[in-house]
Amino acid sequence: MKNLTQLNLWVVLACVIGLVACDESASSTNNTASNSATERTSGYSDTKNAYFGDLHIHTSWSFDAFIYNVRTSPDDAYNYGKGQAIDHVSGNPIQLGRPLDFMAVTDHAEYMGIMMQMLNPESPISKLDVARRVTNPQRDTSRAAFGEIGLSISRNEPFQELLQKDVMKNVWQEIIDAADRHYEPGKFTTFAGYEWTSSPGARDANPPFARNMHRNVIYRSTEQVSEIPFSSFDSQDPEDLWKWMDNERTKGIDLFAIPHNQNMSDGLMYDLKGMTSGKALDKIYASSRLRNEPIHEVSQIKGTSMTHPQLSPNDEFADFEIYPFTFVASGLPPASQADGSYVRQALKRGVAMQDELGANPFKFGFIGSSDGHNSAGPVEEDNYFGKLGNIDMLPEFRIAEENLVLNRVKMSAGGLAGVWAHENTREGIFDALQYRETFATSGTRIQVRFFGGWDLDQDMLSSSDWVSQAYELAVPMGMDLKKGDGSPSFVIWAVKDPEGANLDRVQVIKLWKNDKGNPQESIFDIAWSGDRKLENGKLPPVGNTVDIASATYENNIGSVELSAVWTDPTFDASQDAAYYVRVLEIPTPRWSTHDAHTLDIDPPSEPPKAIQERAWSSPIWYNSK
Amino acid sequence: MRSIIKEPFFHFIVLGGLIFILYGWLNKDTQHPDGYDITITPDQQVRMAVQYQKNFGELPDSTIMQNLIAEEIKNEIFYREALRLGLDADDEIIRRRLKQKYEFIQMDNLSDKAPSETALKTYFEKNQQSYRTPLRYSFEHHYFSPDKRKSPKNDAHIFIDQGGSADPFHIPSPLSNQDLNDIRNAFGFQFSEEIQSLLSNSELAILESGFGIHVVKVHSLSSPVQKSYEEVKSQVYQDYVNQSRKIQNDGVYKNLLSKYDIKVTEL
Repeated sequence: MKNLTQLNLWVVLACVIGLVACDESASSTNNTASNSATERTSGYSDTKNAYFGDLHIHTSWSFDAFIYNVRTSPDDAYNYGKGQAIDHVSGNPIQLGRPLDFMAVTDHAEYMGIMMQMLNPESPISKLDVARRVTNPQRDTSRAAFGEIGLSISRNEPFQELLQKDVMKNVWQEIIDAADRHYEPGKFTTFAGYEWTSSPGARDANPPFARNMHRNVIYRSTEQVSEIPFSSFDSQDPEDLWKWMDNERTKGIDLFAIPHNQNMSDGLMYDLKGMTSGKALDKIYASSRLRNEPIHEVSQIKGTSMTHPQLSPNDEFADFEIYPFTFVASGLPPASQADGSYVRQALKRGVAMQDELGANPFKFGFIGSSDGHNSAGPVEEDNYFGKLGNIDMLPEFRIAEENLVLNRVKMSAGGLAGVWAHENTREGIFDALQYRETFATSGTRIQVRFFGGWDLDQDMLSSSDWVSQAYELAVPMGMDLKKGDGSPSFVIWAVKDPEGANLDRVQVIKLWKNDKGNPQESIFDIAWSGDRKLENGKLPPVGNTVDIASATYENNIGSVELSAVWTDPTFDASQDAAYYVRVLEIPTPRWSTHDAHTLDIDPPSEPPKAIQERAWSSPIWYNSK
Repeated sequence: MRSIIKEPFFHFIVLGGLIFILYGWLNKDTQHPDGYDITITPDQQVRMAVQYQKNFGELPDSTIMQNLIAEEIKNEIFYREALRLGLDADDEIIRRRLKQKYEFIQMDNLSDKAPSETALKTYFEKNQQSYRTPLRYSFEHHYFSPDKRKSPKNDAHIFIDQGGSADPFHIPSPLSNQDLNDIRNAFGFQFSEEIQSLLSNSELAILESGFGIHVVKVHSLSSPVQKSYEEVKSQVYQDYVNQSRKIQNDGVYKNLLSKYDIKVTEL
């Protein structure tokens, strides 16, 4: 109470000297999120713009980046995002072809910034035995120490001497300050954030491995942020993370968590029971997850988590940048089971569970990001510089024959987060993420719009203000299509990346529950390039212009723009369903093919030498009740 | 200079250098990769110490130094065994790695010296034109789609000569106050390069982008404003270092080149 009075006094004083605007909200003491950007920025659009960003970047302040000799900071990361060249451990500077619109540095909460203190002779941390081993030049010793640190996270048995709250608080404040230093409303948006690195282990397995339950926590403002991050040392169970987040929200702190690398969770990420409780999912779980995890990351360096060929055997494009491993401290990691580890299966299970539970436990939108650990995300296939410090900093470390047994070659160039927002501000981007008006890409800058409504005009797209009409008559991606009359129809539009490849096709993926209550998936080709005709319901391949030896391709096949107003021919008003859009580019050389060209050697026989990069819209859900 | 002479590290290097010369003279014929004797020279040790300092911020203490040496011995043994197996022969990657390592060492030499404030200011003053607010374009554009037209370029010419209608496009027209980054983000690299050839109040011109053909008229160009040194300090620092690195590397290469007698036989 005393604090409150002091606060009021301060506000009055500030009003008198004219520091703050003295309307009602300034003197009110309830904790609503501050809305600093009331003025529109120059790029504001009524019909929203597509912005591209990366919400998953690590710097040397993450324990694992540090150990592989990364020495760049959050400031470097934001400079990289804005298009500047920054240092790379290889000695060659790295730079994005095109700047990003927004970014969040998400260093690991566990031992956040502590490793840097191991180098600081002034800090008592540098004198600790574990610090001595981590910085030991004998690689075997430092690797072993790193293994112990990794294992201490998956076993949830932290080095107590490294859990120094004061150090962590300072580092966290510096991370927030870095975000503020680089925020340019209308131009480049930054967010305070961090990674909660829950990696529950199978410690009796040989070798002991960890399952990935990681989430990035992102904050709407830098004024109302947590005092200190909730780390996996506080709990490894996401339900506890959500409880903590719910509690933060009561303090006026606006935040959400983004799960990623579901593909490496060995079935845990979308398990049908609680991680600790072992209880079947219920309505409370569903609403808690929905509130705290509106979007999931589906594409990044460690693979794509959309679907797996085992789970979608009839999807000819399912086998895309698959990275199906768990984590181990060293050596080859055991496989991660597909069941429970991929987004599409979870979404369709969620649709099927809606009725029974009275809520959908797996309802979320999509983004991509990089998870780059060099203060930078390598998202461009022809500008790939590896994920993690000195272990994959050179082409030969990634694709030379003797390194092929390692899985680095199966890593993918990172993805990007696409967001439809009125303007490029913290509020604009955060709210769009919260409302799931987002799409994921595999790193390319395809733009995709997706609206659902009832009996929309088939000629709608020919009108110049069709986007305004769509916002008026239909719901955008990420929303629920309420029950209506007639058939639902969808307006779908995609345009290529102006510096990327032409488009092959646009597909709708429908997830639904059949009469027996079983989850189902169907794929519809709805627009494509050229004069191809469906053959037995199947669209022939677009062709391939890739020249492997020179790592080049031609844009003389494919389309610039594809669009359609599509009506679901299989619609049944009594069946719950979810729909999302997938846009495919024509084939282009994979990063490993570019590396092979650089080295003047043949590309490895696996993975594929050319890939079809793509974008995925967030779903629209139809609820029959 | 005097302060450098007082530095223990300087003594370390000088002494190390002397021992190295002496030792090299005494042991002319050892240290051959196909032999079985290994000597870790003071020169190598200095290099290890410098590299360590680069990564970890301080010079290694004696325990760490011993570990560094043990690691180096292991590397040397593996290296020699690999050579014995002939793993280096005709290996493109090794060639490239050597070349790269050489380049890396050149850059290394430079990064120890932090540029002085005066040097940075002088550099800024000489290159002021690089530190201005960007040019901003206000322009109209009309799109001709390769998806919808057989020869969009022809149609664009006809549009310029006779008027007519263009294709619908997702980027609104006209646009105002766009800098080249905005333009590149919206239209791609090629278009953002080509638009720079247009002046304020230009004629209708045909530009190309990843989307197809555009007829463009620039209405106005805003004049750039000079930024102050304080505003761009970190950028100046980076640019200065990059430039010095380039000058240094070019110099090294020039010296090397002069040692070689090069002939390119005609085809």
